[in-house]
Amino acid sequence: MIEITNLTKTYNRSVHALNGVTLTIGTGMFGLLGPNGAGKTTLMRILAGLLRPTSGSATIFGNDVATLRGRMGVKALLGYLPQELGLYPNLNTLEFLDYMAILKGVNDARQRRTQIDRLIQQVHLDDAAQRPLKTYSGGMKRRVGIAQALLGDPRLLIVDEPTSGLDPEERIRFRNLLVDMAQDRAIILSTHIVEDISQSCNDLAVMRGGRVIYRGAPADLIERARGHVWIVKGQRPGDELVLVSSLQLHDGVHYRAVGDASRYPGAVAAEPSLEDGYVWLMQDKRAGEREAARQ
Amino acid sequence: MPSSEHGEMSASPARRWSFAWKMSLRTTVLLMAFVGAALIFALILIDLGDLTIAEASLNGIEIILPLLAGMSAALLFAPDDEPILELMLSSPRPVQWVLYERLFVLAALQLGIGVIGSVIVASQPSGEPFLQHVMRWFAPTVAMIGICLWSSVWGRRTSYGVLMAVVLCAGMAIANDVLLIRFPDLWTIIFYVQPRDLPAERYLMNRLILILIGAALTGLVFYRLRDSEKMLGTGEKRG
Amino acid sequence: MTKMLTIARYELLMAFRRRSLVILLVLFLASIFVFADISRLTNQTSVIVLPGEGSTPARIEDLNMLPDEAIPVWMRGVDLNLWYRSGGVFTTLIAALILMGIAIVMFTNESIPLDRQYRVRELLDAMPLSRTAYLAGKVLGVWGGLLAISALTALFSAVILRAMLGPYDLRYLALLWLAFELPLILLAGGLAVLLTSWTRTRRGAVLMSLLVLPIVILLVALGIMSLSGIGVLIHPAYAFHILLSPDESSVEVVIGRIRHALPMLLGSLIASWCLAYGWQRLREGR
Repeated sequence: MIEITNLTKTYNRSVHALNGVTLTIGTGMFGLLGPNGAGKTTLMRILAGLLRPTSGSATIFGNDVATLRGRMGVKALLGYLPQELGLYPNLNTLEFLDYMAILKGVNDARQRRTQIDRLIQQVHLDDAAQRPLKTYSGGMKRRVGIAQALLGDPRLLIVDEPTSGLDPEERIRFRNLLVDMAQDRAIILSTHIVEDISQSCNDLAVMRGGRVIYRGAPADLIERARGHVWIVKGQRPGDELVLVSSLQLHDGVHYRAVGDASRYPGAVAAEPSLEDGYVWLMQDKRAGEREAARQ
Repeated sequence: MPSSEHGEMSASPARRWSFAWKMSLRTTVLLMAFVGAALIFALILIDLGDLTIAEASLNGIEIILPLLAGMSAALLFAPDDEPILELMLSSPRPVQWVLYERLFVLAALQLGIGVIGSVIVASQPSGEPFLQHVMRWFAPTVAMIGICLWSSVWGRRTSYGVLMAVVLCAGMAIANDVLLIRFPDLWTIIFYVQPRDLPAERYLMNRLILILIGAALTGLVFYRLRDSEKMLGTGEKRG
Repeated sequence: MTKMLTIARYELLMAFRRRSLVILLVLFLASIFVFADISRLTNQTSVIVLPGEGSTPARIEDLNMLPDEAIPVWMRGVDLNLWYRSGGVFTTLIAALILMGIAIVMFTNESIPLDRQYRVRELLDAMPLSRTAYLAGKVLGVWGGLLAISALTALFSAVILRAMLGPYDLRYLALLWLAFELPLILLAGGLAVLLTSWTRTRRGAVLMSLLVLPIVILLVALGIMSLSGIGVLIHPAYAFHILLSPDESSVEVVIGRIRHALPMLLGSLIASWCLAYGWQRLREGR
């Protein structure tokens, strides 16, 4: 169980990356969404024991991340895939995973070998496992990163943009792998690919400006957008609608947009998706902030 | 197209150049030039205090300047240590230009320091003629720039060039005489042969050979930079 | 302990694949070759004045034919030709050590900065790994590489020196290697790793090395002055190589020098460790 209470993180005494975040995260898949600079990576780094919080508390399976002992305790339970993953270019996958496994505390050589072989198969790198990592493509490097995060059977898995750079098949495979693993552990998934969250998470938080602005099930977020999602044909929507997508079809361009479509008589209401829910939430928050600023 | 939308690529040539120069100045390690200048002028000042130009400041310049110029040249460009190598190679502006600029800034700084030092030395009654003093440091400086730059580019790492600078300068400065006794033909390429040790034409030949070595190796570097595949080091099969 | 040794093992493997170790080995052997050649030249052309009152210059090849009264008491009974050629070994090793000190700083400084340049550091920071294990693993890895190079160079240089200088006292070479060359090589490597540990890129490490280099050279020079007399433990005659008069007191003088220098050499390593450790601690969690 992860308990986060009033967590703040301030860089250089002026940049407030986290601003009173309170969350409780149980076992299962937990999605983290938000625009760039919302504080997701900072939150995950604190949970991974990489950063110390400025104030507030975060307890992970009984380990307080504010203390050195707590952070070491967290790291012993953790599988972590950072957004900017680096690898040693002169090692091959087998060597790199062996190195990481020992650092994670998998000391038994046979157990380590079994785990590494299994993970290499799971991420489909069997054929390339002996090649130096510097010869890998971006997607292959990402898969090595995923494999290292899963080493040591971690109770908490924190993955930041895990599927970026993966081809669609690999993305689906990795998503399914995460869902299978989530039955008896906590997995925190941060991504900009909303589909990854809608397909795998039963619980999510949306962050903005260092705060949690939504916490709940993806279905509830989708429901919030119901009645605000429109298909507008031909005419490009103006500022009152947020354009989500546009599709060139035989009868012209179909614009999918979120917001108030009263000025578009031909607009047809559409079934909302999680992406629409997210866009609606962001638009709603921006409108609220503008209103507050006017008052 | 408004430049704000398209950044440097659509900026006016003047803006582009000023930006490139600024970056070149930063990467050419101004600090090293300041250190060199401080050391050389400190030596001269100490000697001027005694109202004579001692051997220390005559030799000091010819040791300090090539050493620091060599180190700076080693830091100019090493493929594995260049953080934005791929971007540089894909830019419409050839990567050689970047090195031209960095090299120019380096040469201007180091040669400027040397010339000022030589002017001061030449202006003293007990000093040395200006051209003769310039000959002391100019040839080894050009040679060191070429050798160290080539070492960094060829070895792909800055450390190769810096090691060459330190080993060559220190080795020749310390073991100059021993080397000449053991290998008499080395007079052709030893950095610190003194005008009094060799006949004038041999001394000039030594200076000329050093300059040619420096120029040839610098030319080789520019030739190698044309091959972006080699620069990226994509010899091995990629996934 | 397992983690520390694993870091050391992989550090060694990566240094080998980056070709750093091979380059150091080649440089070391080349320097032994060049300096031995220079030493041979000196041997061929020199005459020597043995210590003691009334000594007269003697040709090297005539040393073993000198009458007893022309030889200081403490050097009688020694094969003086062998002793003299061993002096060539001594000067060769000292010259090579200075060059290697520079090369070692340049090629081992990247050990920790490369973790940041390759962006592996965030991954390592998320591991249950203590700062001590990390730093010690890195230092041990570099030392392991230097140890391997030293062993190979010692082996090859024994042959090179025999071929170039002629027969010499092998015990002297072994002792110099173990008690003088090796500790100073390890000292240079350790200092280079620790004192450049806060830089973020290899280029930064090289720049930092330029500041570190004078410190390392100074300490190596101190080490040379204090440890190089270790040969007196084999025979007091070897005190002559460090410009001491070979007699009973020379053993005490040499041991005294070592006793004085050791705290400073070890202290510099400990101070560097503390600096590196403090920096790691400072940046952790910021």
